[in-house]
Amino acid sequence: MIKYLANIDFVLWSLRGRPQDSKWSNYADKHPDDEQFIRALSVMSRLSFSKPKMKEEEKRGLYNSIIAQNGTGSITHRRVISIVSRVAAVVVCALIIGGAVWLGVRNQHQDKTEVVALCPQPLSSVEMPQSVTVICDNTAIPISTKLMARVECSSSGEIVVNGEIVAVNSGETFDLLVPKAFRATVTLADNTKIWLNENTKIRVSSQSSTSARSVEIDGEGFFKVTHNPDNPFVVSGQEIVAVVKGTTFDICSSSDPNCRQYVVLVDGCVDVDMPTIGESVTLAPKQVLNYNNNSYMTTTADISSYIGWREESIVINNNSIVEVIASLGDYYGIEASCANKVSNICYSGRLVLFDDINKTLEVLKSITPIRYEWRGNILYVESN
Amino acid sequence: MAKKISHAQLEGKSANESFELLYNTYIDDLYAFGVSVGASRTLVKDAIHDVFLAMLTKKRDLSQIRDIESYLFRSLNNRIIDSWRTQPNEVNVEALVTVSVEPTHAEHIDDAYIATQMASHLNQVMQKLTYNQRSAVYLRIMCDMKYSKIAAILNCTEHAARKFVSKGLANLRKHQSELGKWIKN
Repeated sequence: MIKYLANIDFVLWSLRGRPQDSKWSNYADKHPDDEQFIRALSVMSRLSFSKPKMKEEEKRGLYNSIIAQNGTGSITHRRVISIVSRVAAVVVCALIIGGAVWLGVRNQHQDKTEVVALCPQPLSSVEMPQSVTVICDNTAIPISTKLMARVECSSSGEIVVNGEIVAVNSGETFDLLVPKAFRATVTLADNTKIWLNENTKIRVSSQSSTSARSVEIDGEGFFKVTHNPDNPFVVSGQEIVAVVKGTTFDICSSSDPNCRQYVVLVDGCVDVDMPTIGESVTLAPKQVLNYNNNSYMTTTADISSYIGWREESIVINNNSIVEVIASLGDYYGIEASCANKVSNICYSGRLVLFDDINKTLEVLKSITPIRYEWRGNILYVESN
Repeated sequence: MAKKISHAQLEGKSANESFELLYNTYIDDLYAFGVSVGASRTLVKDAIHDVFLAMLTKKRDLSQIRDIESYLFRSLNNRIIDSWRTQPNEVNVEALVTVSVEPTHAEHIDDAYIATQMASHLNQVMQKLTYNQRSAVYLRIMCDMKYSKIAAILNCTEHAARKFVSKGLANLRKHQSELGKWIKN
């Protein structure tokens, strides 16, 4: 049977319905006792060329649609109509967008006139955007930056971000919002420098030579305040207010109830007021003030773990790789997970955070037996 | 495919009447051709739609066309190739050979199985042919067309049409030894 079924000429001949013009047609007469041939024919009789067919109603529908379209005009006619309608659509879109922009511009102008009279909403209720944003004169200006936004303010109210002037502030304050996975530094007109951790909002009052220096903060910031004994610098957190004359310190005070509130002094001297409990403390260098549930505690501690975030590095103190990877994930704003096996690896030290997460991971990889891979946007770390 | 429409049949008919006659005569063959050479069913329907609409709207003088049947097949073929150029993912070769699995009397127990295997293997082999080979083999073997007609449809010379068929069959023969490999006896 094989010799017939494996012969494409025989197969095609039987598929074609065994026409008479082939050598196969009288083969059976010549070899009446060839059972294999008979059986091969019986197998082939089950096979046929498929003839794909439309259903009757499909055929009718197609017929009707051709007739109907023929009535609506020739193909060239239809093309002209389609081109005209496309052009019309573009014009309408342009008009709509132009109108919207014009209305927006007009509204902005109206807002500007109103803002002078209005009090800005409290910082804690300002919504956190997706990217670093400057809110100035009630206008939100998103800043496109990879990780770090470098903001400089001049006494004339110019706000320069990463070397570009983005706004000229005419109001009394402006807000800077730093969402998750971003960082920012702010240099004020008096040369005070502020490093902002992720998830932080600050409201900076514009500085002229006579006005008080003050900043409102919701989140964590590291301040290096330029010394000026005549004009104290006031940093207001949620329940703690730091009054300084010229120091370096870190303050974390968030409206998020899960967030710790603390002030860490690096050098100089800070007066911390806690208006809710009516107390005031003066911190000495390397002292940490922890504020929690209307009570506070001052300790002398290793401050590097508090301020490590500022230097684009994280301080690891006998933390497992799972924790390290999790904080890397938070820092770079990515999703990361570890295989169970690696969790017994622990690190201590300072890990420099490069702009490129892969570089940072290479460092970890070179000192411990791990490997990592990217599956889409998710980082997987496992032991080697 | 012996139902050729002659010019005499179309004479004196309005464009819509000629269209109706041609549509009813060739729709099944055109559809089967399009699907068998590997176009998806929706693509074939769209292409047929365009072919007939173009014929109607261009008010083409049908008496100027020597062979209306090959004109229709050729237009369909060109439309399918055109739309593949713009949407290359549309290729979709359907089974050319179908198998009926109803039991027949007095046959070997394995025959139904063997027939199923044969069908799936033939379909696989058919997919190995190039587009022109598959079209030519389809028109030659399954539609019993003359080479001159195949040449007109595929827009090539008669010599090339013969070559497509013979290369296609040679390609099938190359794989024919695999046809019987799963038959034990």
